[in-house]
Amino acid sequence: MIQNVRIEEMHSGMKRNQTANRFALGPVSLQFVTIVLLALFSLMYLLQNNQMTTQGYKIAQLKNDQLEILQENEKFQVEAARLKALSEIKGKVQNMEMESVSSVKYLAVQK
Amino acid sequence: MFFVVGLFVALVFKLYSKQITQHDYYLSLANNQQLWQKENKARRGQVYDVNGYPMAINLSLPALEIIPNQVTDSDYVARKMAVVLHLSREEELELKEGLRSNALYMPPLKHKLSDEEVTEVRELDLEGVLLIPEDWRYYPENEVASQILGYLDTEGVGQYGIEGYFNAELMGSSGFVQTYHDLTGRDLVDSEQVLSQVQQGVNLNLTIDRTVQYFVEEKLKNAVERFQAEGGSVIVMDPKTGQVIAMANYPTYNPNEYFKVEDYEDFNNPAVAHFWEPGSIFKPLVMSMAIDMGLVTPDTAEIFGASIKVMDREIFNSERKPYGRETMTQVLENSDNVGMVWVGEKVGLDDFYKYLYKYGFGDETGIDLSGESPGLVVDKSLVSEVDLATMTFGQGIAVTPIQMVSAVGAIANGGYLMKPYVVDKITTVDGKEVKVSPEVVRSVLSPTAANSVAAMMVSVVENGHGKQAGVQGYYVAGKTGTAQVPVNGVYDPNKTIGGFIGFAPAFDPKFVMLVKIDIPKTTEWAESSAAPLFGEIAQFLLNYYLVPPDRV
Repeated sequence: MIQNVRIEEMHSGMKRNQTANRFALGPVSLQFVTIVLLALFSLMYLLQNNQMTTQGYKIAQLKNDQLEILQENEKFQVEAARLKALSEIKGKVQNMEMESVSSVKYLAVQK
Repeated sequence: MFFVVGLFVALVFKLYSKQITQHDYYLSLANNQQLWQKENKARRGQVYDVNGYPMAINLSLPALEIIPNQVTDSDYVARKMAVVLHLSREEELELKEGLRSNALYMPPLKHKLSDEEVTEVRELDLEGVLLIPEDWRYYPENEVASQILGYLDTEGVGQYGIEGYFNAELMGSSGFVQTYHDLTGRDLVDSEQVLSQVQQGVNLNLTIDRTVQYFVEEKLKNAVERFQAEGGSVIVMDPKTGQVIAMANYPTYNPNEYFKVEDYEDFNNPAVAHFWEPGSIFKPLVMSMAIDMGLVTPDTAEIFGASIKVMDREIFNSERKPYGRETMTQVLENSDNVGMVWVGEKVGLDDFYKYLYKYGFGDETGIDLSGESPGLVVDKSLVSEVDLATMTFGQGIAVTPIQMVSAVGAIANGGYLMKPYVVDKITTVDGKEVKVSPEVVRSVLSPTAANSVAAMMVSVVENGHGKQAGVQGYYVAGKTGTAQVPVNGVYDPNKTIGGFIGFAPAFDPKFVMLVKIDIPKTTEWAESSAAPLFGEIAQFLLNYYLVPPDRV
C-alpha cells in the first residue's frame, strides 16, 4: 500500500538523494476503507440516535413527573382553599367554645 | 432488450410520477404518519375575592377511560374495574359487552376519580385502561357568592355571573404545536414547533369581600326563613367608588353542584336581573329632585290630609290618616304618600324624568355581571298625572336592586353617581396587573342637596319608621319601603316586598346598602322585616371596617 519511492532532483546545482513516503490506495483497499468508514458512520449514527431516543424518553419522563408534581401541588392548594372556606372554619370554631364579641369600644388617642 | 428498456422507462416514469408530480400528496401522507399537531389548552383564569381568597379555582382530576381494542382480556378487565369502581352486576355486564366490541373509543367510565381509585387502577396496570387528567372548576366557598360567580358548564363555558360575563378573558385561547414522533408515539427531541402561542386565561380579583358576603348571606337566609318569605336580596356597595362589597340573594345554589338545580331561575342574580316597584324607598330620590331644584327645603312645611285627589283618582297615605302640618323631613319620616304627591307636582313631569334618567333608571348600570336588566320606566309621553303621582312613592316604575343602590349611593356620595362594579383587578399569567378604576357616571345633585337629603334620611332612622335600622353610636341614613306587588295589573293585598335602603356613617359613608325581603308571610311591614336586618348588617360592617362612632 505504501511504497518507498526514490526521488532524485537537482537543486541549486546540487544533486541530492531523497526518500519519501507516498500514499496510494488500491481498489480492494478503497473498498475496505469505504466499508469501514460506512460502518463507523452507521455506528455513530446509531449511537447518537440511541442517545437521542434515550434523552427523549428521559425528557418525556421528566415532563410527566413535572406534571404529576404540579397536579399534586394543585391538589394541596385546593385542599388549602377548602380548609380556609368560611363554612369550614365556622364548623371548627363551634367546637372551640369561643365567646363572640358583645361590644366594641374605641379609644380616642391624642396625637 | 426493448422489454428491459421499456421496463426501465416505466420505472422512471413511475418514480417521476410519485416523487415529482405527486410529491405533495406523498409528503402529506408521510407527515400524517410522523407529525402530530397537539392542542395546548389554555388554563382558565382563577377568581379571588378582594383579599385574595380563592372563589373559583381549577382542579385537575383523572377520568378513567378504556380503549376496547387495546384490551386483551375483556372479562378480566371488566371484573377488575367492577371491583375498583364498585359497579353493580348489570353495569359490569354492560362494560364487558362494551369491551368486547373492539371499538376504538368508549366514553369515560368515571370522572373525578378519588386518590384511592387512582392508586388501585395504577397497581392493576392493565393494557388499554387509561387515566386521563381532566380540568374541573372548584368553588371552595360553595354557595357563597354563587350568583355573582356563575358556574362553568361541562363544555368548559362560563355561565351566568362573572364566569359568563368574563368567559372569554378567563378562558384564554388554546395554542397549537407540531411534533415529530417515533414509532412508539413518543415525541422526538427538539422536534416541537409552535404553530400558535397559547394565551392563558386571566385571573380576576373581585371587589367582593367573602367575609362580608358570607355574613350577609347567612343573615339574609335566616331572615327569609324567619319571615317565611319567598326570597330576598342584599347589596352592600362603597358609595365613593361603586365597588360592590357584597351582593347576596336567597334562594341560591351551590355552583359545585349546579346540575342539581331544579329551578333555572336560581342561576339568575336577582340583584341585577330582577326589577320591582320599589315603593317608599324611592321617596328620598324624589325629594332630592325638589331640593336640588330649590323648590323645597327640608323645613318647607305644608298641611296634608289623609288623601289627595289626582284627576279622577284618590291617593291615600298608607295609614289612611291625615298628618296635618308636616315639614319635608317629616314627610319622609312619616312616609307620607300625600306629601310626596305634592312634591312631585312641584317638580313636574319633565324635570321628574330628567332626574330619573340622571339617576340611571330605565338603563343598565353597566355592572360587570351578566343578565342585567334595565328595569322599566314608562315612556314619558304615556305618563298621566296619576302615573306621576304614584311614581313619587315608588309605584308605576320598576327598578333593579343595583339601580336603587347606585341611585341612593349618589346621595351618599355628594351627588355623584358611581358605576357599580365587581371586578377590582385583572392579572395576566405573566403578572401584569390592570386595576379597575372607579368611574363617575355623572353628577346628579349638588353636594348641598345631597347633604340635605342625607340629613333627612338620618331623621327617618331617628324619628320615623326606620328606627330598627339604627346602630348605636352612629348616624345612619335610611328609608323603609313596603312595596305592593302587582299581580295581573292589580295590587295583591296579601303580597308585599319589604325594603330598606340606607348608608352609614351618614356623613362619611363607608357603605350604602339595600335590603329587600320578598313577600314575607309573618310580617307585613318593612319596618319589622328589612329594617332590623339592615341594622344587624350595618352593625357588623361598622365593626368589621373599624369605623369609630360619629356621635356621642
